[in-house]
Amino acid sequence: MPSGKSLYIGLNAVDPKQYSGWSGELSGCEFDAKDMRTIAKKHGFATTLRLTKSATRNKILGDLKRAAKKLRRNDIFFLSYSGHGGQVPNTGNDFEPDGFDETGCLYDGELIDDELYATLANFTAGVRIFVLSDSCHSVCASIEPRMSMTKRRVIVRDLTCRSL
Amino acid sequence: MPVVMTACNEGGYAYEYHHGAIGHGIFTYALAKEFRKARQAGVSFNELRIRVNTVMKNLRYDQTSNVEGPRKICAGPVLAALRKR
Repeated sequence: MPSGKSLYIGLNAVDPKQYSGWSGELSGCEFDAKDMRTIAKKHGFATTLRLTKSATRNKILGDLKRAAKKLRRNDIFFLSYSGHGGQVPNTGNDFEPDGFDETGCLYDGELIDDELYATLANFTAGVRIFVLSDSCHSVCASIEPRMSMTKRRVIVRDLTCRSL
Repeated sequence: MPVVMTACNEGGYAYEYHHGAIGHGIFTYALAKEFRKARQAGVSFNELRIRVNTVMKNLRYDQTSNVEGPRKICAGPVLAALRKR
């Protein structure tokens, strides 16, 4: 019987030392990750939970690499991410119409979408991959993203925007 | 090619939502709610997206989720895609 592996990432804050003093506080991301894990557990998935301080670049990339090694054709990998989204100027050879790569803000640094897709490409062909992203995945390209960390953290009513 | 569900359109924002004392992302809140309801119903990824967007709209959120992936899988039932076969 095929196996199902899953990784739930939820960050209610990031390390200010790595983000020019910005702590990126949010209140619902850890709960989101736990909630998704609860649903997946009921469906028999093996689960890994990475909350705030344990959601570092090394740990997440390690989790992804381990899952890629383990899963075989027809197996399932489920990844959910709740946290801030950001943008950095496109560094890869891929075409980004706006010139920016989207990122997820992990605790100790951003994970660029190209890095994520390169890791997902290491999965064996035929592994079914499902990704959920509860973050802003694009901000206005005319604004210098690195300069806008606090400005872009828009508060609308009592709602905190999951954006840089 | 993975199936990817995202909380908002490009250029849009993903918001937090407080339901009682618990903080959620509005997208995850709506998705978990609709997924739990749809468990037996064979709802597709595309239909799930529509239901999630309706929940967000009814709660007055200006946020539209998206689903991308192989067309056939997105049009097919979520549970069949996630089931261990």
